[in-house]
Amino acid sequence: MKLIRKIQVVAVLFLIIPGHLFSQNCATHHLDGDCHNDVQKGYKVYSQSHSTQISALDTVEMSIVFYGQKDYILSFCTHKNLYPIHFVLIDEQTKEVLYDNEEDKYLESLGLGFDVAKPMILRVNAIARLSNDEEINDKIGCLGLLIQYKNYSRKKVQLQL
Amino acid sequence: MKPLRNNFLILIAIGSLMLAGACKSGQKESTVLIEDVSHTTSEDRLHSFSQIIHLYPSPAEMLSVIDFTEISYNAALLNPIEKADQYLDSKRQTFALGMYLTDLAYNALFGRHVETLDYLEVVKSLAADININEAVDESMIEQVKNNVEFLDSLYNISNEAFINILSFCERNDRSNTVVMLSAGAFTESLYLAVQMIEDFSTADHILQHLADQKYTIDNFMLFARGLGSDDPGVVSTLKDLEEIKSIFDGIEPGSGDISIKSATPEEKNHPKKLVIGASGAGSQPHLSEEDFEALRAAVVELRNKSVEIN
Repeated sequence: MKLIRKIQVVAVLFLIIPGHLFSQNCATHHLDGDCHNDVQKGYKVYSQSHSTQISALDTVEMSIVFYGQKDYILSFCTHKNLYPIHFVLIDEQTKEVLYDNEEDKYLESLGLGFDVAKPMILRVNAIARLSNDEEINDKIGCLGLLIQYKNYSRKKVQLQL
Repeated sequence: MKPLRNNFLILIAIGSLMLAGACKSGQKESTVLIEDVSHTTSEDRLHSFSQIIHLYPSPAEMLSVIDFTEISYNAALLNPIEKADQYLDSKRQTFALGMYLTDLAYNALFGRHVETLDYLEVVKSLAADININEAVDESMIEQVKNNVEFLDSLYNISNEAFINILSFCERNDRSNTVVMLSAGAFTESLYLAVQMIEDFSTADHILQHLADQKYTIDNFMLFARGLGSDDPGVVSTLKDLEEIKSIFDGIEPGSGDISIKSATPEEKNHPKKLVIGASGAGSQPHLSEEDFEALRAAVVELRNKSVEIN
C-alpha cells in the first residue's frame, strides 16, 4: 500500500506542476541550440552572447559592445518554424545600417573584424516562412545569438599600425 | 490482484504524462520547445513586441584587451581574499563578488595558478552566501586544479564563472543581483586599469581602452536603469556610479565614423566577413589628461569605499 501511495503522490505532482516548468528556459539557447554547430576552433565565446524569446511578430534589438583588434563570428539560431532569421547590423552612434542579411538570403552567420571598439545594434526578427498565420500569431520560441571572438594576429596588428 | 492492477494503471498514467512531455520537446531536431502562448489572446499577439537588450563585456574580456606582457603582476592591487567573509549585508557581498570576479580574471590573465584557485574559492564562497551557489560549483575548482599549465584555460574558467553567474541570475529573475555584481566587477576593472597607468604620455593603449569603457558603462546603466528597481542595494549602487558615468559622459565621444569593407580574399572563408575600422583618429572616444585624473580619482574613491570593512 505504501508503494501505491508513493506512486499516487508522484502522479498527482505530475498533474499539478504546470507544463511550462518542464519547458526549456531560453537563457542558454545560444549554447545548446543550433548555434552550437557554428563553434569554431580557436575562438572563445563572448560573454555578450545572448538568448531570448521571440515570435514572428517581434523585433529584438541587442546593443553590443565590440572591443577592437578582434575578429568575431555572429551566429543566430531559433526554432525550425521561425527560420529564416532576419538581422540588421546598425552603427549605434550614427544609426547607419552597415549590413542586412536579406542581401545574402538571410545567412545565419557573419564574420566581423573590428579594428577599433564600437557599440553596435543588432536588430533581429524571425521571418517564420514555414509557419501558417495561426502559428505566427500564437507561437514563440527561443532566439539565440552566439558571439565568438579571437584576437587579431600580431602580423595583422602591425600592418594596421 | 486489485492493488497490482491499480499500480499498473497508475504507472501507465505516469508514463503517458512523461511521454507527452517528451514528445512535446521533440518537435524539432534541437532541444528547443516552442511554447504556446495560451494566456495571450490572438488579438494581443497581433501587436508586434519590440525588445531592447543592453549587453556589456565581462571583466575578463575588459582586462584581456590590455597587453599584459609589458605589465608586472601586482597582488597589492587586488582585494585580499581574507576580507571576503567580512562583508555582511547582501549588497556588499554581491558588489564584492563582482570585484573578486575581476581579481580572479586578473590572476588568470597573468597565469597565476595558485592565486586563481584562491580567488575562485572566494567567488564560490560568496556565491553561496548570496544563494547563487549553483553557478560556481566544485567542478570549476577541479578544472583549475587540472589546468595548471594552460593560461588560456584559466582565462576561460574565470570568464565562465562570470557568464554562469549572469545566466543563473537571468534564469532565476535575479536582475538586482546582476546590477550589483556587474557594478562591482566594472569598478574593479576600471580600478586595475587606472592603476596600471604610471605615465599619461606613454600609456596610449590603456588610455584608449579606458576611453572605450564609455560604451560599456552606457550599456550597463541603460540596462540597470531600465529595470526600474527600487531595491535599496540597486539604488545606492547606481548612485555610487553616477560620478564615474558623468565623467564618461563628458569625454570626447569621437565622430563615430567608421569604414567598412569586405574581408580580403585571403581572409575570406566561411562565414562571410566584414571589417569595421575607424575612419580617422577623431572617430574614437578620447580621454584628456584632465579627464583621466578625474576618472582615476573617482574610481579609486569608489573602489576604496567598497572594499573597506565597516
